[in-house]
Amino acid sequence: MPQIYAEVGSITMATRLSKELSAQKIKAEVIHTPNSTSGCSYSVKTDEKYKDILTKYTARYKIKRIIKSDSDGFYDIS
Amino acid sequence: MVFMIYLDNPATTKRKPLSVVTSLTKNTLLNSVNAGRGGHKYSIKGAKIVTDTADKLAKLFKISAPERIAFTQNATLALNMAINGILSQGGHAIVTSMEHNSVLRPVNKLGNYTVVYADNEGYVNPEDIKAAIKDDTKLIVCTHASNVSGSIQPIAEIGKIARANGLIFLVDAAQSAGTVDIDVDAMCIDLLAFSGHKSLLGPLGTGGLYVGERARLEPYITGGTGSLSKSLTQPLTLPDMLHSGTLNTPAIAALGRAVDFILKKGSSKILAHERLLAENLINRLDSIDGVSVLGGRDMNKRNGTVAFTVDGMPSEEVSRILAVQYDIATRGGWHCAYLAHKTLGTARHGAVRAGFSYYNSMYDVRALSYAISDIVKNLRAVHF
Repeated sequence: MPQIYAEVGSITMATRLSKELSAQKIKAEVIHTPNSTSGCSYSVKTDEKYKDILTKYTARYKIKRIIKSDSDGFYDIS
Repeated sequence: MVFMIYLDNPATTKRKPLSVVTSLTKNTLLNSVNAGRGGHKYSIKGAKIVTDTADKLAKLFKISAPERIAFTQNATLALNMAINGILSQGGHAIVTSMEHNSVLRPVNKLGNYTVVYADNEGYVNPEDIKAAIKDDTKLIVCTHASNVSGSIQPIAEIGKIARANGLIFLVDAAQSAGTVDIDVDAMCIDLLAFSGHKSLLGPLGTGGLYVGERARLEPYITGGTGSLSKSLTQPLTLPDMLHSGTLNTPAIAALGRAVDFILKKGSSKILAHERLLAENLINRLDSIDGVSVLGGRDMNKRNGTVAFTVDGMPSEEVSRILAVQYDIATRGGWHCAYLAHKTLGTARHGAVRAGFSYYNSMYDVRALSYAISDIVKNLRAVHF
């Protein structure tokens, strides 16, 4: 399953979003965003099938963009 | 080893819950990590520690957005961040005469402020604050509990005045956080500065600032936040905006354990215990000729801090004798709050301050009152 990354404004938000997903039994991991355009940011990595759930949290956790990662690289799919 | 009776709790609580000590030791050994700097597991774990403690504090202060809590080294830094952050572009501030120098010095440095005097028991009248509002007033600052007299201010009433007049309300909770009830929404608090190492029972080097939605702060300290590294301007996202530099992760973890302890015991029960000791001490001191206790006698409007004077003896000398001859730690002088002493009538000689914490007992009250009786008796023997 391809992975997606929800890039947020701070590690605090990433930690909180990850906690929120984990509470719903969704496997989520806080990571240092690969290819961050702003220079150092954090993202929550999870399976692509949870994209709609992540989108729901855009405002609450100030998600900046959702990035997809597959064998060809990283794409902004927000 | 004989332990000193420690009553300098308003400065810092010396004894901490065992879980706090264990956590500090364990996290110093295992998690002396830079939270949120890099992607390795220690960085991520450190960030989780910080977030977990913020969540606990949010529960204690009834804060709905825990990400708006930033950690600082102490309440002084939090107050400086708040005062300078709101008034960086100018504007007038209202403060009370019961403030600590951690409020008075920053506003005095900025220059445009009014001091509203409390009554001689140390209580501020909210109407006096309302009357001090000017066209350019931006900020009202009020201590929740005085570090001298222990008087608890009518924060909710002052908060309503601030809100009704479109002003930002900053509360200095250095002496109240952990014991006196705090509800940021119900009390209309926009900025809450607290220390972690006093009645919150956490380790030294901890404090924090809650920034409500209405407060638009300019960052006071800028630097590395682990985020937006390509930008030369400070991120405006909370808490990053206020988290420049490495956080004290082990101490923040231990503070989290302290908050667990308080939530488990119940802050109202802890306050009731401290008030019981304070009331007993006040009653005993009131019965000694030549001793005057500062502040009112309504215990519902005080915390566990009791300040008093001994006629004919400087407060520092009383405190010194208590320490040297009776092994009791108190604090004499002006407690970094000269205007409060002026308000309470002790500007000339200061006062002796004793403050109770969860770990004090009636034994400590008796020891202090007997010691004061003794000191007064000896003073009379010298004079007559």
